[in-house]
Amino acid sequence: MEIRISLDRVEPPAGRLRLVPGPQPTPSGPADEVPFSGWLGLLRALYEVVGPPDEPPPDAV
Amino acid sequence: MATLAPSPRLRGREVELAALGATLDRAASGRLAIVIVEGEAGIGKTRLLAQALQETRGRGLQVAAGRAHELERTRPFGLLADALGCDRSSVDPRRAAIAALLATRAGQRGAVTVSSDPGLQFQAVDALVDLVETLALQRPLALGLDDLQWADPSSLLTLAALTRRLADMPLALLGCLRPMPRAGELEQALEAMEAAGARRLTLDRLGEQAVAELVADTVAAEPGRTLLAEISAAGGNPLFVTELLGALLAEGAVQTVEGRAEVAEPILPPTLRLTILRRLSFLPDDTLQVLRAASILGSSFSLTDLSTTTGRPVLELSTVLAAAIRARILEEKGDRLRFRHDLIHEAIYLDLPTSARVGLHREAGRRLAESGAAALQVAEHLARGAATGDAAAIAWLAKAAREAAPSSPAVAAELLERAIGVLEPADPGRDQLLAERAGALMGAGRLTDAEAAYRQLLDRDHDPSVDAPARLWLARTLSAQGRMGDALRELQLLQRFPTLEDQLRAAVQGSEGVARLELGDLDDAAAAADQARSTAATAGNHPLVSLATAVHAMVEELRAHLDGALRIVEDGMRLADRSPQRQGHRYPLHFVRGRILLELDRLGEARSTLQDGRRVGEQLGMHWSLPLYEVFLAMERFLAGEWDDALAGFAAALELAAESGERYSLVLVESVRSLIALHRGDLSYAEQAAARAERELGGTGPRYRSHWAMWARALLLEAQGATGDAFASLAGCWDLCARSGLAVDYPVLGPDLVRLAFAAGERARAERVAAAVAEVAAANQAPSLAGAALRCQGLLEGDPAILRAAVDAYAQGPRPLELALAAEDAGAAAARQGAAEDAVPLLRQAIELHERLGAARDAARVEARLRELGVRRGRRGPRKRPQIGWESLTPTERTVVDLVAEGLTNPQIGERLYISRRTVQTHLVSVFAKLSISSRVQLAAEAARRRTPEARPD
Repeated sequence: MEIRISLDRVEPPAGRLRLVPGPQPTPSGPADEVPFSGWLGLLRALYEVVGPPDEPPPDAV
Repeated sequence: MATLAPSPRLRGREVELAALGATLDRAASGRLAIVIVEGEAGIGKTRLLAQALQETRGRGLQVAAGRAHELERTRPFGLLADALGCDRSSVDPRRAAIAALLATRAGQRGAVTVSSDPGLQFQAVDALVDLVETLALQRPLALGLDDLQWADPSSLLTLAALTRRLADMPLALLGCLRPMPRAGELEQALEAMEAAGARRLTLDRLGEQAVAELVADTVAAEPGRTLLAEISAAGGNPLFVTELLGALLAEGAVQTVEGRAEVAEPILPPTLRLTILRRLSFLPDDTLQVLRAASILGSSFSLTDLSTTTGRPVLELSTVLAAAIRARILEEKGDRLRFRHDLIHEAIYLDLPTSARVGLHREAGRRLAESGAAALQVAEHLARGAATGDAAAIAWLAKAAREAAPSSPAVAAELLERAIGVLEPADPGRDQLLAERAGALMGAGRLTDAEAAYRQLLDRDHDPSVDAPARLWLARTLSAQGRMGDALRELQLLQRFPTLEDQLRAAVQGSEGVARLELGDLDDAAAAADQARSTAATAGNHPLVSLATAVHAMVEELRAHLDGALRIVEDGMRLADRSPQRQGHRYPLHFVRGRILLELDRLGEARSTLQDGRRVGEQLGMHWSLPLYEVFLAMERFLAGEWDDALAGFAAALELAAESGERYSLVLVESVRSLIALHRGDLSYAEQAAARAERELGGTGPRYRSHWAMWARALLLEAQGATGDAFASLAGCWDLCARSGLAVDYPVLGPDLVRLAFAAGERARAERVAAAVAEVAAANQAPSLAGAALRCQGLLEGDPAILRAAVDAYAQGPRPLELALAAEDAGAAAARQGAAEDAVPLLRQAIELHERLGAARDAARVEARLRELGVRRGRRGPRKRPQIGWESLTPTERTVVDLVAEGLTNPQIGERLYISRRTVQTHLVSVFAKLSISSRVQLAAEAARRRTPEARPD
């Protein structure tokens, strides 16, 4: 799979994130664009598209 | 899966911790000890400070700790008030009183220019210093202050005062700061701390071993090589190390197998900010949103404020933020929540787009204003969210500045500067704010900055309505710098204004009276004072009526019409007593009365008048008047022959004057210091002090009592053998007085000038001088005036009988120096006429008096005269006081030591002895130097030991 990020602004970043489906099935997430703002927003958008790295317990962060 | 340990042990800071421990030990043993810890964000300053303060308890110290916050840099005394628990609800009345003092607002007083008297600031400084002193005397105190780079100016001012005044106290000051550009106030506080022997510690990055230990503590396992290699990206910054580990743990990237923690795959080296954000990204959406909103409120916030700014109930917010507390993003501190580290706060705050930050600040400001929050808090948010021309932001900044002005003019100046920064360039209110800012700078003692600000305003096109007040304050700024000629020029410009309202006109006329008086233009000073008095009375301005009365009284005093002068000022004082809220005493009439009483030899009354005036000045918050009282109380000690006390008083006055930037009395103080040194034979110090007085005059131009510097210079020249130059200098000095009609100093200068004129063959000059002194003496009733007239006459005629009469006249008064000099003159004249039997007792009297004054040079001169008569004096007079050891202490110093031994604080001792706390401190500095000790505790112990009979050497 491929993730395309379009940036409207660099620091803190803002823009849209889109998963471009490849030949392999994608783990999860929509093919639509996900807007984000800030690094936190970018990370959250990534989790939305590809899923979080692990499901951490709430007190492990 | 491994998790982040709650609070890892402090690693790799053993050396620094030992240094802090040594500091605390020093404080526990009774001396002031200071350490400043400097290091980049996240390097572990806070952790080190916390550990050190934790360890104080084992050393028997009590702890007070506080932390400055970026958004609270404009909260006057915020840092120290928090650290010392000064809360209005405090059960300790002293703390509650300080909180009440700090809560005093000047909102109704209007513009800063007319309410910029920083009396409240200095009261608060004194109150906080007193509190720390009292606490430290109860039990050694460790005061830990974090993030000093964000401390408010008033706390920094207090910190500097603490280091200057409490050098002998069991007090440890531990401060932390980041290496970043420093404001002037921080620089000054650091300089004061360094002058008090502060130790600087720089926290470097942790070494590999310490990082490995920290990792092991955090993951509760032995770290593997790959994990350590990953962590090396943190560059030895402990916060970065723990945040990186936290993120790795949260992602499940760290696996512990058989007690060894490792990461499976290498990860790109991140930045600290991204590492923090990555860890945060695992929090629930709602928690993240609330954290973003909270970051607008600063690194510490209350749930109430957050509820106000977000419009969500407190209970709901507390539920949402529980996840952030569990994740150690936030921690609870009293009734507030705070981000565990400023960098965590900063990472969230800076991750908001600028437009969002600005909008959120504006929204927060608006909602806080609606909820009735403090102007300062509202202004801070509105200013951060303001676009150019934002009227609400400007109005709130100005309101906050006016509230802050009495307790912290420096903060007021900063807030006004920000308000000015938001204004449209052509805003019609700009000049008003510029004028207010200049007033605040003046109140903050930044006189040259204030002058520059006024000139900047006046030198360009400006609002005509601010012109007159701004020029008046410019004149006052110049006066406070001692530049009377420059001040008068501005006042003369003002006089040409076609329309001045009465209050302003009275103020201008009064200020002109003062300036002309200082410049020795007595006739015009009196005329200006008369006008001012009449205008001020019409306008009902009581302080200005007092000012005009004072000028009038001082004119009469300088003309040597002392009884008349006294009547005028006493009438003025009665009027001031009857004025509403004693407003009439907002000009220091007690000071004028005290001065006149000194001239009349009524030293006891002068002293109590000056003490009363000092108390009134403190009560009315007239900080600017306090150095005047200190100087003239010291003058009283000088005239009374208590020179050590006088010198202590002068030193205290100079310290007080330096705090307010006031230079009014510098010439007089340095001249008298020079005279004392001269009489005592320390010609080198006499030269330095005279040069300081002359330099001051060079920078400011001549003014009242300039001639004392010339008098000191003349006597110094005489001591150096240049009698001709000495005569020329003193004659010039006399002529200056004569031109201005300053007859009051004729009796002071006369005898020396007659002697020098006679030696220079200028008999006519000597006769004129003697006649002028006689005229002053005839018009006033005071022993020293009669003595001076007789002494001049006796020197002129070389008549021992007249000089003997001078001795008798002086003996009726309280001035031992003049008495000694007259006795010497009488003895020398008798010797010249061959009447050794008359000469010897007189010379012995002189020598005894000189020795009592410590006037070694004068005593040696008289001793030489005795030897010429074939008399070897032996040890008849009082023993010469040694320079060091207990026997070297003056009577006042002994009394201060006794009171220290009783456990009294400096203010308490001051009250007991009717001297200022600063003078007490000056005495103690002298005592410590003489006894080679450095702490109050040591002094008290030593004093107690000496009280036991077996400990006494004799």
